[in-house]
Amino acid sequence: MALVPVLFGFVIPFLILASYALESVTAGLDSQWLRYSWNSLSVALTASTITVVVGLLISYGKRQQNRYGASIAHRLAGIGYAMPGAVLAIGVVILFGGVDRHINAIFEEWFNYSPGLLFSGTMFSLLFAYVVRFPAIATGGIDSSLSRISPSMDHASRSLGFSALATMRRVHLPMVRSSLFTVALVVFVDIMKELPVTLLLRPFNFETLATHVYYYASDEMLRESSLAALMIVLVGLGPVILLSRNVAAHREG
Amino acid sequence: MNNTLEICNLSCSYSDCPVLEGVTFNLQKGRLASLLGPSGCGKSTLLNVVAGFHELDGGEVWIDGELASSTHANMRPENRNTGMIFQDYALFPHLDVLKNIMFGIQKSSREKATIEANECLQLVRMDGYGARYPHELSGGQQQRVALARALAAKPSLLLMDEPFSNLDGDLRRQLVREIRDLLKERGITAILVTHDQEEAFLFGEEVGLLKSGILQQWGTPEEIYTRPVNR
Repeated sequence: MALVPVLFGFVIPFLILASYALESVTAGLDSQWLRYSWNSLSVALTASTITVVVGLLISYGKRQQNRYGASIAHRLAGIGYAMPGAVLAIGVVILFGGVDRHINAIFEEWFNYSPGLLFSGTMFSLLFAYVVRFPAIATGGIDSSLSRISPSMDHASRSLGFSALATMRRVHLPMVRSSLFTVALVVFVDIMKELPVTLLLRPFNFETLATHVYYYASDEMLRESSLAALMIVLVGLGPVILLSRNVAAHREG
Repeated sequence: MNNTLEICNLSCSYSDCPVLEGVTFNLQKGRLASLLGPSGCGKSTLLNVVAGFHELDGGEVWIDGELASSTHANMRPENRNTGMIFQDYALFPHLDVLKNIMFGIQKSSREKATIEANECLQLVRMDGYGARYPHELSGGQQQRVALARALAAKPSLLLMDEPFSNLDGDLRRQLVREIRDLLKERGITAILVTHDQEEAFLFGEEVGLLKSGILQQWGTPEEIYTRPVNR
């Protein structure tokens, strides 16, 4: 009985997708398809790496008790995930649009030259929005793995002459490395399938697997979208397998 | 005066709840002190203030003639030259015993650091264990390694936070004596925090009694034993 939801919610749709994908592959591969995959992969990889670094700094900052700024940053990190992606994207457009306008006005006045849009409409604002949106996922995972490290480890390292940052690098980082990897993978998958922010902020002619699927699926051209959709599902399975293996290992241990 | 540690009228609190009030004592270079009190009396907090992990609300802490903590200034923990050992040993699990000890040795060459680390291992009678990892050692062995690591950094003051509480019976008494003799021999200044009276009297040349955040008495074990100010 427990398998019924899995059957109807995953296995059957997955098989249908797979058969569509097979049809579209035999009908000839879309040459754009590789480029979309590469776009998705490179953006998600870059953004998830930055997000994990930001998340680590926020979580570690909060661990150092007497930093009020860090505990505020920790709370702010949650807001990006709580608000709708479209709202966040519009906020980013307004912010960087304004910055670009000012930069252009200054350059026009001083050098009689317009550098164009530097931040808005470029990869920068897309990456920025991802890094605002996803630290909450990162800090959640990193917090729990840092909490397993006794504070006396921090104290030992500090009293042996290392600053807080050097302590993080030499003590905490090696001890949480594997869970950082898991966290990065979860964020990576989230970014791969993220839609509203990507749709609104991606540079012109920059398609990812997610936007590609969205365009075709919204036109009910399911066959054409199936291969990209399948890719996203397969990438998403990675963390599921990894996490369930971790959970199983914990149960045994 | 040749005081390694001077604490004047120290008070501090955790989120507005007072933990220590008006604590004053000095510790001369090379002396071993025990701080005895029930759990929750503020003795670990006192060590954390001296090590620089907790800010104080009033008073001053001087280490080696330098102002380390006051209400205006707080020297960073890494600049205080204090060594610490803990109840949970706090050895770094991702490093082997030798690398744990080398952690605090800041030397230009790796060879020199390795030689020094091995000397420290010999000192705590753990030579031959350099390639082991902390989880492969017993509690007593781990604490010896933790001591070697703290001594390797040549601290001017050693702070020991209930280091023997996880050990039992004879091993504990034996280790207390051994470490006391070792520290004495090397002229190291140290404070041991404990809730165990026997341990405190065995270790300290001076004993402080701490109760509810107030230092009730400070003196030699004989003075405290024969003329207690309270019971």
